[in-house]
Amino acid sequence: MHYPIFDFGMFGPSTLIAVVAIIHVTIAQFAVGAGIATPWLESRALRRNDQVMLAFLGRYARFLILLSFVAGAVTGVGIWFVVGLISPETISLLLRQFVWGWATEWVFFLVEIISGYVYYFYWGKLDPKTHVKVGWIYAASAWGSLLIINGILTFMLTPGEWIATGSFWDGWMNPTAWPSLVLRTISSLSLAGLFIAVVANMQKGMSTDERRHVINEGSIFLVPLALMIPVSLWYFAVAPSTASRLVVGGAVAMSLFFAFGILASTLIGVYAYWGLLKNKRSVHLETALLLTGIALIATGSMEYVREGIRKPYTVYHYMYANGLTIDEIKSINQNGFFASPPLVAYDRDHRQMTAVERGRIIYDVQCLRCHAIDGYNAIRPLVENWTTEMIRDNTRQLHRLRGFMPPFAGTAADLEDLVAFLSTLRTDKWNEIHRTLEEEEK
Amino acid sequence: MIGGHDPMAMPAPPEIMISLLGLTFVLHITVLGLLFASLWARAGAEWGKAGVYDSLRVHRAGVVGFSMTITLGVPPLLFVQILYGKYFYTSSISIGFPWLAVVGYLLVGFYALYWTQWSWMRNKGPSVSGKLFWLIAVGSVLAIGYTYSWNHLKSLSPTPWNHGVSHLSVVHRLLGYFGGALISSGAWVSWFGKYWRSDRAVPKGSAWASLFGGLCLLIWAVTSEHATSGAFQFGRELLLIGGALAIVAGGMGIALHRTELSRWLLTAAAPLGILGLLVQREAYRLETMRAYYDPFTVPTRTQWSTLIMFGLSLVIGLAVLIWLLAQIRRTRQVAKSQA
Repeated sequence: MHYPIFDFGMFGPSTLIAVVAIIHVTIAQFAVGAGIATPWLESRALRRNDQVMLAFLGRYARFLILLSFVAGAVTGVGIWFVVGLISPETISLLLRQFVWGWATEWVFFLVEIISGYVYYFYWGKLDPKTHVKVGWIYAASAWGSLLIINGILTFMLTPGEWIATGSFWDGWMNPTAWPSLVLRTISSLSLAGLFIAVVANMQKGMSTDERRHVINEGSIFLVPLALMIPVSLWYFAVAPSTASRLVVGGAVAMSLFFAFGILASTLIGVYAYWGLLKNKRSVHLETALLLTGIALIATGSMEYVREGIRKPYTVYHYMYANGLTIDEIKSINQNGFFASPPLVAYDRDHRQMTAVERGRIIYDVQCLRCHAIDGYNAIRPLVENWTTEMIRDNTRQLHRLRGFMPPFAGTAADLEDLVAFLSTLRTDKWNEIHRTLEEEEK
Repeated sequence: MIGGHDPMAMPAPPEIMISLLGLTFVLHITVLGLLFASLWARAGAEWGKAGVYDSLRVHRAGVVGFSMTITLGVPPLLFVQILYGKYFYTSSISIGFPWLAVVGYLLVGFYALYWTQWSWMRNKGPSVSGKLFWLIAVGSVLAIGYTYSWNHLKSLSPTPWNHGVSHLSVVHRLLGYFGGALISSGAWVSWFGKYWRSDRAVPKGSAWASLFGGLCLLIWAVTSEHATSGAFQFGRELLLIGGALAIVAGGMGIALHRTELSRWLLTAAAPLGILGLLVQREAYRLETMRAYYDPFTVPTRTQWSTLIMFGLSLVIGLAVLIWLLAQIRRTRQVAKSQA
């Protein structure tokens, strides 16, 4: 209500958020996983005097820095940018409530970046023992960063006692925080393992046996993927039942994405154990890229599910996806939508507007953040073949009809305004059909 | 026009927030100087006669500087959102896609800068692709600066977000920040010169950057908005002193070859200039916005336990960074003694 609304046009805001978030999550989790994998493999290689692995790890560290130190950081800030445009209320809430969490996370990130540069630039220059220590500092700070962000992200689905107390700790140590942390750590390690296979295959000057050796050693990090199913069960056991229901049939797309994500992850884990660890097989570049591609899609699927099951809220039981809080909706229902005019209508008198004009404003505030008029997740295909009565009835009971939709906020008059606007979205073809049907009925 | 206070209380007294905003902003602009140094050193290598040795050293530092600039740019962005969230979000939304494009500029800029170095190494000297990537990197950095300034100016009052801000005023504002970063770049390179090249401790580029940066800063200080009292005036005085010192340092480096004195003058000019920019910016923002928004009147609910957590993490983080620097120093000493 208190911000202008940004219209993303036909692409729809959710597409942009999804793209930026998936890229960021993948890179950031790779940075965490690779941070743990590299010093672990380095100390193991030093113990065994494994020069092949040591030479490989130097190149792998370079890949890590080039990919994660800028792309990871920028896409992380990119999420702020995108969410700030789409849902400033949500980002404002998350920043104000967790500002010292974000600031602490930044300290972890700063240590991560500097220790990562020292680790890479002083490879072969620092004494091996100190170098491994620097690697572990990088790992600890990267994982610490994940620990904090994970608590804030899971807060959005399960704010727990925070609703009553408003306390940072109640919000951050929420019910889904721990299973989610385990899931993300598993995912991070697996991405590190997969990228070891990719980087090893892209290195020039390595023999087939050397590649096989490096890939087999790195595959240990893929094995925890086999735990995805039990940890996911733990996650859904503590998630709100209404959210869990969406995954087990409440929303077909969500069920399919979840099934794909969980099965793909588990299968990669099983393959890593039998193929790479036990039977010491190798993978070619094409196979490594294929496995990484599947893992990326699985990561994207799981992120989609994480975002999806939270609907219709951005912060469960507190703020809806359109930025309106439960209390605000109560107030609007009582006093009317224009009793406290939204910013988008600040210089206009709503009484002077037509019903369609008022309806458009209501639409912009309550619907546009998820539904473009045309394009991705558009409103027109949903309403173009509805009669006026259907639009009215469905909108009035939206949250009952579709559990993942927020309730309509407004009085009966406001509803009529929105119905008037939505009715204009019907195409000529459907208007013609409706006229014919009405005439036939007469 | 813009709705009431944010429903969430301010998580700490505004004095703490503004101090942290200021501190992290100074660090951000200081490291931005490293990126600037890399850009002009590379221009010297691609188009001029600067030695490969110089430019590659500075360039490598610039690549690190770019990612550090991004990392150190995060906290000021965080604290701005806490302090001025409603205005910041509103102006961001009013800019829309160009604001989002900053994410793209950052990515393109960094990888173009990295590619410039790679191109130099592959071609063992200047090349068309090197020049092209340099231009892309410079364009990206300028675009980022422009967009940030644009958003900042729009966020200063409830009207510009609706009616627009003149592009000339954005460019004008950029002049000051360009000057500050340029002086900082000169200071960085002068210390690199001492560290790596004992024969000629202040490279010529450093002195020219200082001179040009000082001029930019002075022009900005004289021609910027004319509030003449309190902290705003103090900020302007800092800018004038910083700009004048930078010009003197530049002149000494170019004409008199007083390298040691020039380096120290530059080292004083850079923080003074950046501090001046900071004081002026915050004083002007508070003064301009006071009629309709004052962060000092917003309800505050200090989150002490997490503030202490942040403080502790900062102390531990700094201790770790000091330990890392000590390891680097020890390694260098060992290598030197072995040599």
